[in-house]
Amino acid sequence: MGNQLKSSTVIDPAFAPEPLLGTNYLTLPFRGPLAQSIAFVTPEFILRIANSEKPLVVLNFSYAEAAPLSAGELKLLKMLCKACLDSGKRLAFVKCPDFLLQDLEQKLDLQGRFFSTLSQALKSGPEQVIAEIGPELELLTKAVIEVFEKQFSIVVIPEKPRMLTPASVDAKHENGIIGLIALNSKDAVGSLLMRFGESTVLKLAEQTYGEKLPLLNPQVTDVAAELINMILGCAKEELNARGFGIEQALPQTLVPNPDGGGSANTPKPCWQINFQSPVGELNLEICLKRINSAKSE
Amino acid sequence: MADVFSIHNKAAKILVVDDMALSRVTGRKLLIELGFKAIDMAENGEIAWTMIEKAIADQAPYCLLISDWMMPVLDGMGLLRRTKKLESENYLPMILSTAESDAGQVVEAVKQGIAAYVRKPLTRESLLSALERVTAKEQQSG
Amino acid sequence: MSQLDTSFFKPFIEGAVNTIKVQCSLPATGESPYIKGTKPDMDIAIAGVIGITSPKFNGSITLCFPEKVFLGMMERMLGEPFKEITNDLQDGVAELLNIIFGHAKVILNAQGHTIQKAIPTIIRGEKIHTTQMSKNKTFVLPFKSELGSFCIEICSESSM
Repeated sequence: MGNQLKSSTVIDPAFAPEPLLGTNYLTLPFRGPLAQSIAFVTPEFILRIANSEKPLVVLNFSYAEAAPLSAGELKLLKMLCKACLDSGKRLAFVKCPDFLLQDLEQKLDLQGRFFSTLSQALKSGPEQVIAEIGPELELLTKAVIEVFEKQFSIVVIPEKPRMLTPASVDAKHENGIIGLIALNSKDAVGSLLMRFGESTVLKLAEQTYGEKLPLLNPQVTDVAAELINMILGCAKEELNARGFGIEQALPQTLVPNPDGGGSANTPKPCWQINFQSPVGELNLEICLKRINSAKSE
Repeated sequence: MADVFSIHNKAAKILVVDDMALSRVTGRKLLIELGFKAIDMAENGEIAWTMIEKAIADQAPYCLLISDWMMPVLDGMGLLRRTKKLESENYLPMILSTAESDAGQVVEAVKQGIAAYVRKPLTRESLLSALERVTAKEQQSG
Repeated sequence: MSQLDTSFFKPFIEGAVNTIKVQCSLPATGESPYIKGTKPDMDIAIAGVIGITSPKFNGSITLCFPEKVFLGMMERMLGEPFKEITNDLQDGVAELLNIIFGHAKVILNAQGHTIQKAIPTIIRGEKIHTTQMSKNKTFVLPFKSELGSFCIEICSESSM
């Protein structure tokens, strides 16, 4: 079973599984002797995992040593699984020792509620859809319209916003440039991403500089970063009046593939808005969540 | 000695400072549209400061600074603090140009002594309005 | 920013080495950081980017992997072989980056940085090109492992 660690290996508590922002599942890696890993499964830990927003919990036994568990250790593991199932989560067991899986299946009525590979787990089950950002969409849409109108005298028309979930199929986007800026504060977390088709950003650059420039020219890549910076700048005051507390971050430009193809993806669920424009493809993706200190995970 | 800036003096020497080519070039274009002829550009506050000092030494000082806020090496407020230390005969008003829309931050910048503020994206109207405000201030203190 | 501030980089280097050891059972060693552009760029196929805002650090952290290295790591992390980077695997980068960032955040905040939570954006492509809206240099923290090399890029507009 793969590369097993020596029996002296213990999970460092600093790396005890953390509910992760930005991913749609939670991984609990079990390594070395199972008993040592399960020692970290305390009632507080169980509560934290059960309260996590993640719809899927992955118990990864790839690197665990399949030694028998004591009754107490088995009980802890069952409590963890039960708490996850009771809170509506799905479970994926990766490389779970047979003896353990059989026992869990029998005792916890796991029929149809667990998967033996991550891929299967991600493809199945109801998706947790969080329609966190609502009225703020309009703010950001208006900011895009304002920036393009003022900077380039171009009218861009927003299409209907679409919520993307982990199960959504990624649309094909024209190769180009992405402008990205973080939306971070002690009250909120998120990101704002704008896709520019290659021909779009080259036309905008030509309009600005009066000459044709290649895609990776710094003056061209600056266009994407500066525009996303301005879009956030336009919306920030009102976003903060609504309690998001966002500070102006450093914008970035990403070119997934200078020769064509590639993608950039905001963590899902997120909102996506296409804009019709005379210069070509424009697409905004927004992920913004309020951080609730009682349930920030 | 620097000329007092006036929107009517199209020969006024103006320095546009921004680390982003898009905004630098836009600022310069709009100034040309408004009839100004002597416009230089700098990528950050440190380069701008070198140009300002040289212009003073050459006895052809700038009359107006239009500067971005967030820049590497030396940002807009850092540049403002340096220009505040210039001799009064070389006084250089600054228009702060920024994507920042937070009113509190802008108030802070005004307290530090910017002559006017203009929000990005720059438009002919917003820039004109800022230039008029600076002109009025200069005439009052003149 | 012309000097390398090792005290700022150290939590990210430690975090990356420990995270990849625990999550992927892959020992890795941090090599000497360098300024991006002074050595040939790696061919990056997948990267996770986190933007960070704080009074002392306003910038970004990007965790970058070539395809072969990433697929090998995911196989070790998830216990099944993968032939190509799929949508499902993308989360692996986010997960690793979140843990590394979380580790570094705790240490840096104890030093007074007040770095907030952040979420990663994932980029997939070939020879991914990243630029920051800052003329400050980007620092590359390279790592070596038996699966190959990968790196973390750090860029900030504030002096560190």
